[in-house]
Amino acid sequence: MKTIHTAPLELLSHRANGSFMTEPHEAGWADEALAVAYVREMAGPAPLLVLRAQISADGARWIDHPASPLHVRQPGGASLALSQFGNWLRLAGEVSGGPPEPASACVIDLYWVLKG
Amino acid sequence: MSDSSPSLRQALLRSDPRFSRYTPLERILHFDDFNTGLHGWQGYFPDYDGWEDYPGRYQPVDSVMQAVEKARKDTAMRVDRKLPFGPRAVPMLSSLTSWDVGSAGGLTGTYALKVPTLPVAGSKVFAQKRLGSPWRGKFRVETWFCFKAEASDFKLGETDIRALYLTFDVMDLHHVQPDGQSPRRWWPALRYHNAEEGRLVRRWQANIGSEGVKDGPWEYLSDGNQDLGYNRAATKYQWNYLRFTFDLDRREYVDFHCHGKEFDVQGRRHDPVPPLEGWRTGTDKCPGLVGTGFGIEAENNKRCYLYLDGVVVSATES
Repeated sequence: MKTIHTAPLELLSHRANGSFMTEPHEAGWADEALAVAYVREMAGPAPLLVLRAQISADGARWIDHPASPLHVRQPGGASLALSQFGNWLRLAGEVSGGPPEPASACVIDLYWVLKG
Repeated sequence: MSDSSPSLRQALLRSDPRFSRYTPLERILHFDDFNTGLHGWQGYFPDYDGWEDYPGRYQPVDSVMQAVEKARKDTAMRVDRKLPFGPRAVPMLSSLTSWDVGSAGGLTGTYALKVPTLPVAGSKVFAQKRLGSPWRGKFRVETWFCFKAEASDFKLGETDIRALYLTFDVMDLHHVQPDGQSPRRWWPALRYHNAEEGRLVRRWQANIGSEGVKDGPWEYLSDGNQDLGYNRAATKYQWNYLRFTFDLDRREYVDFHCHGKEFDVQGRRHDPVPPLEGWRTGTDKCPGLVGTGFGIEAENNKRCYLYLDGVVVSATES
């Protein structure tokens, strides 16, 4: 039987225009990693959340994973599937089109769903 | 067989490489080897949404949105009341992998359970597991652990770790109370005060009279001084053994051993001053709970890691 684990990375997280990173997560035991984003609210003239998977050999130096990033423009759910990622994982987020800072452009929940 | 010979049970345990480094009581309730998963150790999340379940005793249980609003306004809020919204640091399976040695691996096999903090001074994170003990005897938790600050700046980081924690939320069973006596709740807990304001403290504390399970105030053990194995480089991991036992019937500490030293805790109790009131004193919905938490607290804006490999929890029936 496989092991599965869902790791909550951000809950009810208010994000304004700008960039952010989720906390590093080790997932070397997993064969697949699914990033799941639930966008509870969005605000501003043209809100856009871009989420990109990043990988690392040491947990300190990060490079983009080749998978295409997620583009989220409205509340709802979205996912990004990875199958070759090594051990260290994180999500790099870029928020734009929201109201002037510090007002939040989106309220999000982010998870890794890991299986292997 | 002479009196000094081990019992058959001891001999079996000592000849089993999985258990020979532990001293479990008569019933092993769980043995968590983190090469096969997280074994139910989850991130700590406080109670919420108690309005309808606890009419008239609302304080301090909030709805989730009320809790978020409170936590946003009060950054110094207690861990057991603060809803951890926003970015989270959560327990994970780690291969102890860093830039210089690569994967160090666990004490046994590839993986250990890692409890990380956020890179924020004061960040306090727990891995929590909630067991219902069917017996009212002694309850023992044993682990092998090590702790490190993030190695990304190539510094030792020993003084970046403020404290390590082993905390419990313990409640009586409802059907075994003497007539007329209400079931009780108490919070045995230990804290290793590692460093403060750039200097090493390295002294064990116990939760004696506080009314919070994870936030103190803490009292230093009179014999609490101890240098734990940290080692001399940011990515050299050294494992330490810990054993803590308390009595569910007498509601007092039995023994505490760490890294070769026995500490004098026998008979200590947790009697909150002032006494708990209302909802916090109740055992409603949680009879027989023994909630165990392993935690770590950051002193500076740097991630700190507590690693466990593994955990053995055992008990006596009486």
